[in-house]
Amino acid sequence: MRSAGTAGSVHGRVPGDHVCWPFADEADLAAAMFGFLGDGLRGGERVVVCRPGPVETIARALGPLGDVEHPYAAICAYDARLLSRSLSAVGDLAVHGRLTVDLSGTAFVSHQAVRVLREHAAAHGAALRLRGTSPTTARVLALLAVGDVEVRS
Amino acid sequence: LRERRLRHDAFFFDDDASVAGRLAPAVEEALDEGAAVSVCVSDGLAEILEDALDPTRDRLDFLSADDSYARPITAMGTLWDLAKRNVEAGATAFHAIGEIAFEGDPADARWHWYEAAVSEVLAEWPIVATCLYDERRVPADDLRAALATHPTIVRGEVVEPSPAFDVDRFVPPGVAVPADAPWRSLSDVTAMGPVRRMLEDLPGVLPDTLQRAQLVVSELGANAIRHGGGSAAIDIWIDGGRFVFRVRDRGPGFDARFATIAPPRLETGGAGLWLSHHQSDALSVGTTPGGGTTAVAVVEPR
Repeated sequence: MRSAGTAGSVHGRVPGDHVCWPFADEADLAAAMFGFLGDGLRGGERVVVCRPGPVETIARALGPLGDVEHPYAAICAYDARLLSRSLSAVGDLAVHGRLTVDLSGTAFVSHQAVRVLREHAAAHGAALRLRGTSPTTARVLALLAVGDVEVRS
Repeated sequence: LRERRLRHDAFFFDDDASVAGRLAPAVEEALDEGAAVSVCVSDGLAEILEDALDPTRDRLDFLSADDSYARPITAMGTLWDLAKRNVEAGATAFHAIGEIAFEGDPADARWHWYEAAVSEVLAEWPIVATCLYDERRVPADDLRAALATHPTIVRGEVVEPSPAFDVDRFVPPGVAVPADAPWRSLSDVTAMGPVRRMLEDLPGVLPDTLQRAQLVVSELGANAIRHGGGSAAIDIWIDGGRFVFRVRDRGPGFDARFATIAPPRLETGGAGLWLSHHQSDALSVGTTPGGGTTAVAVVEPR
């Protein structure tokens, strides 16, 4: 059953849980990730990591966990295929026929990522809205002339 | 097989009245059939055409040769954007009438490459592009090049296939890197985020230049990583707020001569080169002697 309140441990999470886990440094984060992801793998679940940083660095850091899906680093060109796989795993995220993606924490979105998001929205019969686009991302969208993507800075 | 829908004519003339006499009825007929028409010609010719046509008609626009036509990539972008928007708005076709002011400058070769590219990369679009060549002013070499870049020639009442049509003669302009050592040389790059961040906080770089530089190197690097063996080697020069990037990979090489100017197809590829070319001031991509692909891009302050 999904619980609410303060979580004292990364262990014991169940489907539906949504935990905010503050960390002080990389070692702190790594410990939390290993615990959380290790639980998932031991339970036969698929795990996905999304965080900024070079892909190979993340892959190396998680290597001891064994059979981890290749992680992807935020939304960047190299990882559009993994973004696609991750979105497929998550499924339909649209609300009232619109898939809204908040990019306010993302400095750059490649055209491959735009394509993946657009295809994911279309596959679920939804219109794509990108919110909080950076000036660079806005340039990408304008030059691609994708008229079916709603952009809000 | 692709269906060729583009018509791309070189229209030779030696007096302004004959242009108006030939083009005005054709424009009227196209508009009657539901096409959209844009005219971008010299002021004198525009005046004659405006007198011969009803400039208030729907789907008829007279455009000025502003910054949109500053470079081949921006001209292609304008042509593609106008065609796309008009066809999406219900026009049966898009007619573009244009005039390039050839002056015998060696740099004009890039416009012959552009004209050759139009014949190739817009082949599937319902576009009728009529390029005007004033035989009184355009140098003979440029007139000869027009025969090679346009599949159809119009002169007076005669409309015929060009006997010299041969777009493969035209190669994109090359871009050289500075002779001095790069500011940074990065090998085995597998993700572009750190490279983009490396460019931030440099003194003397305008925000617009930085954004374009980040976009250009990111797209070229992503292409190299994706299509060139999983990693890229990137050299960066910075001088006076000007960036030069050289991105190399170990892939199979790249010889598509019009790929850097082909409008993007988000579904099937090509968007990275389009974005890079648009946001840079010069771009060349080609096979590296010995193997792999090398892309060189220049981003100038504007």
